[in-house]
Amino acid sequence: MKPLLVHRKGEIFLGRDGGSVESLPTEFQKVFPGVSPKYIDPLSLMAGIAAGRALDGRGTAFSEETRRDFSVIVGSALGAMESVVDFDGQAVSKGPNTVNPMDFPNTVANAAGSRIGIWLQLKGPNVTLTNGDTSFLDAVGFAWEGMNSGLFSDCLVGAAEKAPSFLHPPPSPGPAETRWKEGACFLLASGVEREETLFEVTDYFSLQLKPDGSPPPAFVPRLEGFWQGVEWLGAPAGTPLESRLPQGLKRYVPNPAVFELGLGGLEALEAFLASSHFRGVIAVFSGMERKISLLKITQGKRRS
Amino acid sequence: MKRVAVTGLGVLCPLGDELETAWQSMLEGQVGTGPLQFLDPTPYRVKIGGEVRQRRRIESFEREYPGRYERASVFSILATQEALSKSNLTSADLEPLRVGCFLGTTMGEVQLAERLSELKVQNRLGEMNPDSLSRVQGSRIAFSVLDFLGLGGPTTVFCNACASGNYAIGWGFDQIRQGHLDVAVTGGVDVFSRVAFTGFNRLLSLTPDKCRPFSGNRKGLVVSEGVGVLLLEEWGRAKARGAPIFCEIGGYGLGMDAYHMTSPHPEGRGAFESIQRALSQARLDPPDVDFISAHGTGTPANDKTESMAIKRIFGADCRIPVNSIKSMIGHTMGAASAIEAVMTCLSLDRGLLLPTMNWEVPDEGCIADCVPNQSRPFQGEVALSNSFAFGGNTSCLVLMKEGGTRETAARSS
Repeated sequence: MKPLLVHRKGEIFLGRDGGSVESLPTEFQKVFPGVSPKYIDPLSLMAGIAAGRALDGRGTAFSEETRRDFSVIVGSALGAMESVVDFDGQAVSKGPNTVNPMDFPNTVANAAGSRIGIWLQLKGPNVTLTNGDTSFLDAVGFAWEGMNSGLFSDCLVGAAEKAPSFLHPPPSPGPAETRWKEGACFLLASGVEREETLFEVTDYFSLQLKPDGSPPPAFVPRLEGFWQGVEWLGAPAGTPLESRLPQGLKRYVPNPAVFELGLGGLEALEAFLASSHFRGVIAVFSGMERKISLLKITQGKRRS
Repeated sequence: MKRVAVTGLGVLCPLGDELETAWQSMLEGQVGTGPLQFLDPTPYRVKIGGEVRQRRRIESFEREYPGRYERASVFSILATQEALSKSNLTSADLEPLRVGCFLGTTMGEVQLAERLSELKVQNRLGEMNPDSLSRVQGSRIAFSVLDFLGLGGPTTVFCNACASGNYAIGWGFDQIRQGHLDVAVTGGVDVFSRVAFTGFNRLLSLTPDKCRPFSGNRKGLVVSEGVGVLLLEEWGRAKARGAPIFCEIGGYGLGMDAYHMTSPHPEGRGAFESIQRALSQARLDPPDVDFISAHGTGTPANDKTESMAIKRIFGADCRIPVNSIKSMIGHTMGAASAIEAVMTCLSLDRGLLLPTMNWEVPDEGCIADCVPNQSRPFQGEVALSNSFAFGGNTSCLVLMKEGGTRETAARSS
């Protein structure tokens, strides 16, 4: 299968880089000056900002033919759950006829991806998947497989996550290792070498582990074969990979720092890009689904 | 590329908690929607909906596994069990490495989310079950299915609103077609949601009495619930074990209106694209198509733009029968496309078309033959199953009669 070439990355994180929910409309309008952020939920705003930053102005130059085969793929663990709870809370507390119908579209998990498609006029398959903590990695894996199966030529692929306010106790503030990361990250990717690449996706694999955290025996050869020739392995913070992965891999797992719901793998990706290693694997474990996803990547090519 | 057979089917919907009951009821033109029991509809403008009222299988399961799964997961497990049974398979017959589970849903375990919203409103979040965060996520549904079966393959839950099921079926098809898997549990599920009922009420998209797809006096959709599961299997494997083959998947197409969050493109652009892509992937031409299972929500806008897309591809004088079973079971949201695909498989297999009930008045803008009010015999080989969604996400599946003669990409490779 052909590698998925990742050209650019755009992101926004609340808290980490000083952003806040209140600042989202302003940031959004810097990326989409002609679009009103009114009635748009924070998840969609974050996704839009990150997608726009990944494109860095290239969107307006796309031909109609390019747009037709340009996909948007979004992963999110909780998707629109925050909007669902808010919308329903209004209906329960004040009556269903007080709910603003303009808020209803925010309750579908594909709101963020669909809006990116609408704002940027991208008419290729628009896909939203919700795969727990592995959502980001699975979205990229989907992009790699989808590009190879001919679903699209180019894509914006990424993840967006909004920490739910309905959690008890509330998710923040708290110690770093338990703090939720809220934000969005999108990658501009294609199967065609158009400009310099940040990195390339060359393989992807995911499976559910047994209740004790070990892989079912049938998967072991595939799992072991996956990291042949790999010189680096990263896992996102907060993952219990250390205790679950085969013995030979533990030494590669970095120390956990922050819990990345649905954006799992992003910190590992950033660490890989900053490293001098050529070939790596990012592994994300989702405890809720006892699922592990693995993405094999190589450093990108710089064009002279 | 491998060929992909549908060897198992499972359904729960307002017309039955298993396949044969649902099929027979639809064949007779029964309507399963009506006054709601799930919630008190008094404050709502529209007071009808669709609910799975036959509870024999659900209650039996919940007695055996009390509290272990949320409702959408229970629906999905039951439909998967039925699909496996129809396929003459047990989970022990499946090689874990070669089986995946791909399901679609609009809102996941939304009834749990609604319980959480009640706790939040009442300032009682402290009483929330600590397990709720994991149980409320859509991903939990596919995990629950494989966990229940004791399998460990890849899972993905697609959240593409009302077209979610088709996205999941298409992805399962791709995984087998490319040789990554031998078997895929695919489909869609959504349980009755106060959020959806409130939202569609507020958007004035609901009909107050009955769903009349393609009828000139149509007034809207009916919010409903259900699940549809299609067990997909690599053709050679299915043939080798003598599996029942309901039909073959010829291809699928995904599209995007890129127009509006809640309104379809006025010319059905995304619908047109997805149908064209599906035909192109299957390497079929429009004259090869014998039947279309429509998205057919019964809203003025959907039925008009879907008809426009169909006429653009098949000709203004298109006489292909196009039905909408939403007239009988309502709009089951993320399950709709999957249940429609299940019934289309049976239509091809059994040579019978299900009716579009409640059709009363012609609409010049709509398709000419919506199989009005009565089922009928059918000799076709190729069917399309359309499904469109909020956000403009569109999809189309190509389903082929087992033993048919039409040459397709998969059959010729």
